[in-house]
Amino acid sequence: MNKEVVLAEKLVESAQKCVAEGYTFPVVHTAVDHKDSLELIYIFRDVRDMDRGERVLSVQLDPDHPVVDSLTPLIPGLVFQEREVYDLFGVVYEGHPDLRRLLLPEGFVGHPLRKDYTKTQGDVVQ
Amino acid sequence: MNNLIIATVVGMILPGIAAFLLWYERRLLARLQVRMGPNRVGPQGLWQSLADIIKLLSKSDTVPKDSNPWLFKLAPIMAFLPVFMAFAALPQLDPRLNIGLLYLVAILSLSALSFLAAGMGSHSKYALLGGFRATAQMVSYEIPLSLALLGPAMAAGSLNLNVIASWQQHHLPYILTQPLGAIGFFIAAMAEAHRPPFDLAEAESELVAGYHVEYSGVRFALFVVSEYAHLLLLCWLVAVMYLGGGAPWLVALEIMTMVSIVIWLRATMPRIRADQLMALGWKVLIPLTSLNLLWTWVWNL
Amino acid sequence: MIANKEGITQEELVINLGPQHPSTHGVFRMVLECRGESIVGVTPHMGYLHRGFEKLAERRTAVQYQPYPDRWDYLAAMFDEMAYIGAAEALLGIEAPPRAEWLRGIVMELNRLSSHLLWLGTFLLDVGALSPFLYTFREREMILDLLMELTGARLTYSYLRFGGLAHDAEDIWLKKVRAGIPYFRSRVREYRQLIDDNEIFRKRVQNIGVIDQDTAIRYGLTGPMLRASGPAWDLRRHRPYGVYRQIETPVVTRDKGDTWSRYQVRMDEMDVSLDLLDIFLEGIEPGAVNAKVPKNIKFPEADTYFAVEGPRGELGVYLAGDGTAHAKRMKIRPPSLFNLQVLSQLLVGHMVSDAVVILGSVDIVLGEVDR
Repeated sequence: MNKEVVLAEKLVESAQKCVAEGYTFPVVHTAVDHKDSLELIYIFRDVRDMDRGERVLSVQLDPDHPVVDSLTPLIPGLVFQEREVYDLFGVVYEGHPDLRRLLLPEGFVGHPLRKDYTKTQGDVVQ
Repeated sequence: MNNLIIATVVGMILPGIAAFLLWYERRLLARLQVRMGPNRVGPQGLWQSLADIIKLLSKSDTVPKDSNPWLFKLAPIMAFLPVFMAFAALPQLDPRLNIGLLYLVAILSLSALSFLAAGMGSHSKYALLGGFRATAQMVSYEIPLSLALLGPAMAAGSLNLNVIASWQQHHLPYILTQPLGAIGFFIAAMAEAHRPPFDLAEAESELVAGYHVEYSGVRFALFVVSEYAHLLLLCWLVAVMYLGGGAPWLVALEIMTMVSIVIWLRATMPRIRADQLMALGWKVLIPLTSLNLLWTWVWNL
Repeated sequence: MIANKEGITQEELVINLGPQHPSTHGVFRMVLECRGESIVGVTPHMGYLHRGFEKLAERRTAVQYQPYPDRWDYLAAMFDEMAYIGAAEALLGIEAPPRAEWLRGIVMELNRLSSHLLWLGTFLLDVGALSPFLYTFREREMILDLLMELTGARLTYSYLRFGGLAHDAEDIWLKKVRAGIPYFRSRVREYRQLIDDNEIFRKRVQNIGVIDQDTAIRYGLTGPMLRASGPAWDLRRHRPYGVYRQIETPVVTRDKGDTWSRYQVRMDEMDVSLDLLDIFLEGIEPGAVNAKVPKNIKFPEADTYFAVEGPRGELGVYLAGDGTAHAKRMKIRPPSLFNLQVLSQLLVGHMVSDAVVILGSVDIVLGEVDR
């Protein structure tokens, strides 16, 4: 995939540019754990213009302090995706309107899609 | 004394007829929906509802925690009694009751209380919503029902159902002379008996079971039996008031035809929404039945 | 429930719908705040069916993972298989032979038909009509019988493989499918006659749950949900894959964006599926159904995104490899989850009865939402 690598601080700016160019449709957002870094992937599309391809943004994060600005206020379709990535990877989205776990129960410890996650870690604490 | 014996016998036969109607509905509905329906217990599954009732009688008696036990236990009886009392006005059972119609309308509106009691007493939000819906529905449909019933009474000049029925023996039946009233009465009666498409008080896709969601065992059986007795009563009323009654076998045939139509409608129609139900009642049925009343007045001038 | 005389306070009635409610189509749960019957707030909760399929993809080898996609969206398993196999093929650089692509098209369109039939039945059940549910299940059962004859399973087929299919379809099976199409077409017409002009049904669905075009796009809605609002976006047409590259798929759209439009789009899509099946059965050519595939499948160190147009919308798989037989990361893009995002907006202002109808028109499958 042709990715545009974006700095975490510049993410909102790049996303705004995408939206201004018509890439308003959120295709998918996810994270990949590279062990030494955490990569966030955003794919956007212009649904009104069929011939334009997808735009892929890639953000590298520090796996120990994964904090990034939320894009939900800009593109509301990312609300569950960011919650899911927060749930499974522990990425904290600043400015997200409702950052709770999406799939795992409340009180679950750990973020299971991280490579350093072990089974004993995950348990629900009341 | 004689009356007491008749009442006792009727009171024992009616649940049997209600059980038969339950079986008939399940069987006919199944045929309309390309399935078999109950066909194992007895000939053609005829004893299925009896078996169901025996099963329900043997269930343990549960009262939900935090419910209001008085309301909760009283509600099924309050649903059961008025419907059965209303049968007393029917000409085949008591031909001499002079205030037949008045008595009928008064008694039938009492059952609205039972749904409210069940909804309030169950301590369940689904039951509460169902109870509210049922009460609102019964209160608003009481009016077109009474207005529609006034038409035949006016034409025959009596509140006695027997007089109304026999009047049609030497005149045209009211369904021909008062078609608006007949349609209005039929729709209002369906809504009164909570038959689909007006079953929003017990809508299984929204409120799970509505006001009787918390009931089980005997109390649930009482609700079911009273519902089918209500169906029987209303079809009977249509037969007597609008189709002209006649010999007992003719009345039975008319009743079964009406019941079949009601079941057919259940198989065809989606459920109506609460506000649309109110709109239908107040904006369509009341003008329609009032028009019928006016028409009857002009006709009899 | 019964307030005492002094402290009468007013507050919203909080109704908990699900996870064991008959109309939430599985284990979806939403908490409705109501004023009377009108909804003023909605909080959706999910995850009751979370089985960790994305983590499993990292723990299983590519071949071991093959049967798992069937369990994402168990009502349209062929599309899940296609999404996973397609993504893997794109990453590995394998191409399936033409006959395999034709057959994939056939089974996918059959599966779309069965999924839409199930949706139609359950949707009308939500609206309150019981009979269509049993009618559509009759036809769905025939399609499942066809698929079972081909693959050996009713729902979880495991029929698609890397570079082809598990096995070829016999001519007699293709003949059966061909014979079934006129029957299904007449049945779909019958349903439209039965349902379309029903006054109560129209009143229940028209102008209910309206999504405008801009909202639909910004919330990432796909499939019939998006097309009912106007945009003519269909991956089969605009990002064609497999056999869809050779044909021009007609795109069904409506522009009102209400529940009625979504119903109409899905009904028309059933006709489109039947037309496509006709084309596929005409075009299918003899030949092998399996390409040459390396014995040990190892995902290269790259990533890709591959999406198919499922019955519910865009079903995509983001797949990243790291040179081993395991995926480094596999992300499923479930259309139902995206379509659900708009739910809390849709329901506010409507009544409790409408909530069930609107949820039915979103057509969610919890296996896919929760994964």
